[in-house]
Amino acid sequence: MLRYVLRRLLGAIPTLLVIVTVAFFLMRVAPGGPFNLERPLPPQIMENLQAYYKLDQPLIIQYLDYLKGLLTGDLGPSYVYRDFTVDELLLQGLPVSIQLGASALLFALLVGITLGTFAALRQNRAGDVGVMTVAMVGITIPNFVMAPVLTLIFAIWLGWLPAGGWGEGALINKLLPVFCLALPQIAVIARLTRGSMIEVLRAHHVRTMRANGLPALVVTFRALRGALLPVVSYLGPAAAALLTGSVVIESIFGIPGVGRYFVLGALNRDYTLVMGTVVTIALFIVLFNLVVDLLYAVLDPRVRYD
Amino acid sequence: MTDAVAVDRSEVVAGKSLWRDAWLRLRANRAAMVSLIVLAVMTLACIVGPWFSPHRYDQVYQAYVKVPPSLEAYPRADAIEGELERSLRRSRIDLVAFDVVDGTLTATLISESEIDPRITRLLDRSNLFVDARILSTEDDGRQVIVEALIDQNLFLVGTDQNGRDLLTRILVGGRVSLTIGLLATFVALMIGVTYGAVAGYAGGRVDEVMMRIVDVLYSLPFMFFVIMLVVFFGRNFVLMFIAVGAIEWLDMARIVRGQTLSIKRQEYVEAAQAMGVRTGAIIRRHVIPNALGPVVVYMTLMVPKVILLESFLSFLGLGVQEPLTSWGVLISEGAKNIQGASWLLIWPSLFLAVTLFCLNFIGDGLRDALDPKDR
Amino acid sequence: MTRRWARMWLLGAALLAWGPVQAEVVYHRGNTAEPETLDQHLTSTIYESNILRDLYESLVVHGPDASVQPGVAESWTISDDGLVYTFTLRDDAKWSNGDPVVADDFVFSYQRILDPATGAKYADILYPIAGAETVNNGEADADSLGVRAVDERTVEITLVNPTPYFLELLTHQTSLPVHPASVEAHGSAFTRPGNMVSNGAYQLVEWVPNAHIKAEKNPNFHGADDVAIDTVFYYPTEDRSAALRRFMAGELHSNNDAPVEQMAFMKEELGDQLRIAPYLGTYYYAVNTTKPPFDDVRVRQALSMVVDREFVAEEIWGDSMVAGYSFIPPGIGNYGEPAIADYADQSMFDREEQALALMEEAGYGPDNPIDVEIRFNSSENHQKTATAIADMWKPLGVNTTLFNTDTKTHYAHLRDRGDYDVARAGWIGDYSDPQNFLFMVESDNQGFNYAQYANPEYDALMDQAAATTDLDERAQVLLQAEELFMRDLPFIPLMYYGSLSMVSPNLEGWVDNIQNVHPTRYMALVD
Repeated sequence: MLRYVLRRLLGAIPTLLVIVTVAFFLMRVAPGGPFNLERPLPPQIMENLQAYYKLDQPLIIQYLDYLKGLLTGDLGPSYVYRDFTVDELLLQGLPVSIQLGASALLFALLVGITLGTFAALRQNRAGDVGVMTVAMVGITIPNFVMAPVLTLIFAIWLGWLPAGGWGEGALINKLLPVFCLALPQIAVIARLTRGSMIEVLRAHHVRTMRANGLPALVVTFRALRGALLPVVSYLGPAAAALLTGSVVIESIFGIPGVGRYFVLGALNRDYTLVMGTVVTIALFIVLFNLVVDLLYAVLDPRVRYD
Repeated sequence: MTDAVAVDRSEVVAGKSLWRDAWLRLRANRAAMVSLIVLAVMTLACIVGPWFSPHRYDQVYQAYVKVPPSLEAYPRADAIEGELERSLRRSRIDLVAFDVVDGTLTATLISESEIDPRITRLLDRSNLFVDARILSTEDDGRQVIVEALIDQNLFLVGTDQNGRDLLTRILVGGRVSLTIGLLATFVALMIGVTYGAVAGYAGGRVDEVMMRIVDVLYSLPFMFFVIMLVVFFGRNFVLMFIAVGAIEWLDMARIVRGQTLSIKRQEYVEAAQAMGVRTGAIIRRHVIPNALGPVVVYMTLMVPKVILLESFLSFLGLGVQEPLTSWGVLISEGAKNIQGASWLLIWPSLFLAVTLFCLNFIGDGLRDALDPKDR
Repeated sequence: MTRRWARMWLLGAALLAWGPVQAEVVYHRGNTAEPETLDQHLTSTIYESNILRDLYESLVVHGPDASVQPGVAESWTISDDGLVYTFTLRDDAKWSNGDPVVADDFVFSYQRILDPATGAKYADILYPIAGAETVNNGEADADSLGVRAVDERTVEITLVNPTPYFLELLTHQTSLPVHPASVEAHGSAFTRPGNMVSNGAYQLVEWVPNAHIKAEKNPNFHGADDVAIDTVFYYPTEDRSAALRRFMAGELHSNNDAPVEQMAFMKEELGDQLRIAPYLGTYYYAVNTTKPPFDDVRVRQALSMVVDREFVAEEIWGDSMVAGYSFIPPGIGNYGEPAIADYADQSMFDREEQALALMEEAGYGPDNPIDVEIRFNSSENHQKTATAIADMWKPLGVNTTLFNTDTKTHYAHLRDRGDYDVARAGWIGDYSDPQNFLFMVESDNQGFNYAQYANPEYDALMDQAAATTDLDERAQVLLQAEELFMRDLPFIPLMYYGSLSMVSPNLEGWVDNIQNVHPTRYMALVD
């Protein structure tokens, strides 16, 4: 087991190198640069800026410089947010995003699995239909619709919650964003749980347990263990995406997370910031997929890594 | 005699084939069949509806910008005066009196100088009137009486910010969204299921490398990929599928691979292996059918994702382009109008929601029908 | 009661952080986007200038109505040839750490922004100063710059040409001084809270990127007694609809933008809290004058004539824009009435007939249609505008397709002279002078002249204007240039920008003005 984990972690290094390399060059082929503004810069000023950020050097030198920086954990200066380095921006934003994302994830898991199991136990009955209808609504209504609607209700009409702002991370500022982040995940998790739970409940070993007169609750829990496999598969990338923030939620609620950098970095051609986000998401993906693979073995003894 | 037996046997085998059997069971599922019909009707409406609509999807009614949904035809009685004045103001003509009887307008107009008889064309230009004509001219042409028919227009679900009929636009948008939603999902499904099943079944090194490729693709900045497609190939419907397909199969591959890891240790797979069944056949006949449950569920989740993703592609210049539209684009535009013009959001969302509900029931039905444990 | 609750909560948080200060006046100010930098020599955006204007004070400043007022300089003289400006600094001007503001601070600041190693995006705006361009090109030492400290309280600036808008130019954020000692001590980190020493009405206290910037009244500011607001929070309200909701919930006292899509709703709900003021900007379509059929001025005129600008401004932009028939927006400084197109007052009907005739003369029309592609940067309103205009062009026999890309791709394509027919662009003046608009289509303007317009007559007029000191005479020359512009139409002006703001009735001292500048020091909060 430990050897497997070590091997996977070592194996992550070439993966990361490939990601960094492809992203670095892909980005540079796109038209426009960080200093193409609506007000075009005179050529001399453009040269000054390029020289300032060493963008006038051959691409391959820039790439090697970047790799050198990466080894020491230096992601370079942001070209657009000029007072900060990419490290500073990510370090300031990530805790916020992780906090929100993790809360949303936990909430979604708890509610989603409960609802999914409940629906599976009442397959095709009123409870099932009700839960699945709500889940469909959660999937159908995108974040950028749900967030404004909830703000209208809770902040403007009822006045219970603030309409936006981070407020140094006060609980009251987090409620709506966490809920909006969690809602689609709840729906997905509930549906995945329900689907595989129905299958597992029909399986021989579960029928046997039931026939042997085990209490319903125990049977449900044992069945759930096997039924969580697809949920776990889904959660690998989903958790990585959740913990690295959502640009929609951040800009609607004014939250200082890193999600916006994924979109703004690309739109602004802020090369170093984009690379910073790529490295971040890659680390999360590699880590979570490892966790997922380990969880497979825990949930289903038949899955083995040797 | 022996020949006949052979034929019989093959028929029996065919009769119990996985897909035929699944279809029979799907047909017995009421919810799934109703959904299938609703979806078919909606698809048909999207395909032929715009041809039967009284409004073209790109027809701009300047007089009807953002009018709310109504079962009653426009114009409203109180809007006529305003529109009349608006059409005349720029020509320095004043409205003295007007009257509407049985859908016919009679108006008296005056001006400081002689009124150009082309004034009737000015009225015809407005979306409210047709067949305008001058009844009489007085005061050396400085006063005229004109008559025009009032053009009735029905906007069942209102109009958009350019004054175009929303219903027609939703139907036209449905063509794009249903195509991309169903087709791109299907493509992603095929790639993802095959890839995931192969990786999971092969295991070891192969699995390792295949899954690391998925990780790499997952981490790359998708937006740059899209921007590059636009820059180098221009806008193209096929490219949209490539862009969507390129990312959407990743999750599917991970899920199927996860299922496969578990399935390949099941007794029936091991039995098939012992009997010397070829790997390809095992994956096709045992692994994939048994992994279909979560795949079908995930597929129904992917459709809305793809439809909404398309609007983001449009933002980057890859998706559909005005005056053509799609549900994703309509919904994201509607979201900006929640306060003030909520119908712009509600109606396209409703179409999307109905589609998803149908797909959901069909998906569940398919899953039940294909479940090997259930036979 | 509940809205008050939210406000109380914010106030409470501020109070907790601030300790026992009594009746502190806190202003929550929505400010469109996160500033890219708080280094006045690196900035390029309006949201940065809104903050920097509060933190620093230049030689001259904007008054509440955007007029030029004495700032650090209490008086100045201009030499007869218009080339030498001599500023006398006030003796009570101080930095937030108590240091006096001296002439050398300004010399240091101008040398810094023009130093090529600084990498200042907006350095070229200062090229009217003698030696500025050569210093910025790295061809001359910083010492050769025409900014000199005559004595501790006298700054002398020498110009290349008489520049009648020079004082106006000094109100731009690029002319704000930096505190030399802290720049030398902290390098590029001098903009951080704790490091920053500023000489304006406020000093920086806190900066949480993408959450807020907090500034507190600077007790060393010479006019501190007249500053009514103690603390300002600037929020990057990137989502305009969200800003509207926060404003309605009472969490923001003002926001310098509003969602155009919801104009009708806002007019009804907000009443006069919604401010629409004329703005120093023009929304236009650039036309590729090197490509047939757009190289034919008749085609460009026809395309311009049939655009019902009133419809676009009223219905699509909800009156947040004004129909525009000249390139220079009205109300600009050092100018009179702009050169309005003669068809502005004609009925759409006459305009269409004329346009059809022009098209026919050029050999086109419904029988011989032309294809036009409108390129624009992705935005719902640009798209609606293009859709409406495409519809208006239809009767001329123009088949229009739309093509949108993200902003960077759009402008990179235009700057690199990529192939295009018609492209959307907009320009908000950096300072209130017609030159700041008309220079865009000078034939040697590599950046802005998307139309690739090259008219020696036009260039000659622009040169003549640059050498003219008499303001009235100069305005006449510039008007001739604009008339040429309107005749040749390298750009088709469509609308004048309006500035949209939401201002709470509790906020006093917010004066609508054409530059859309609203320094916090002139404002007060009442209950």
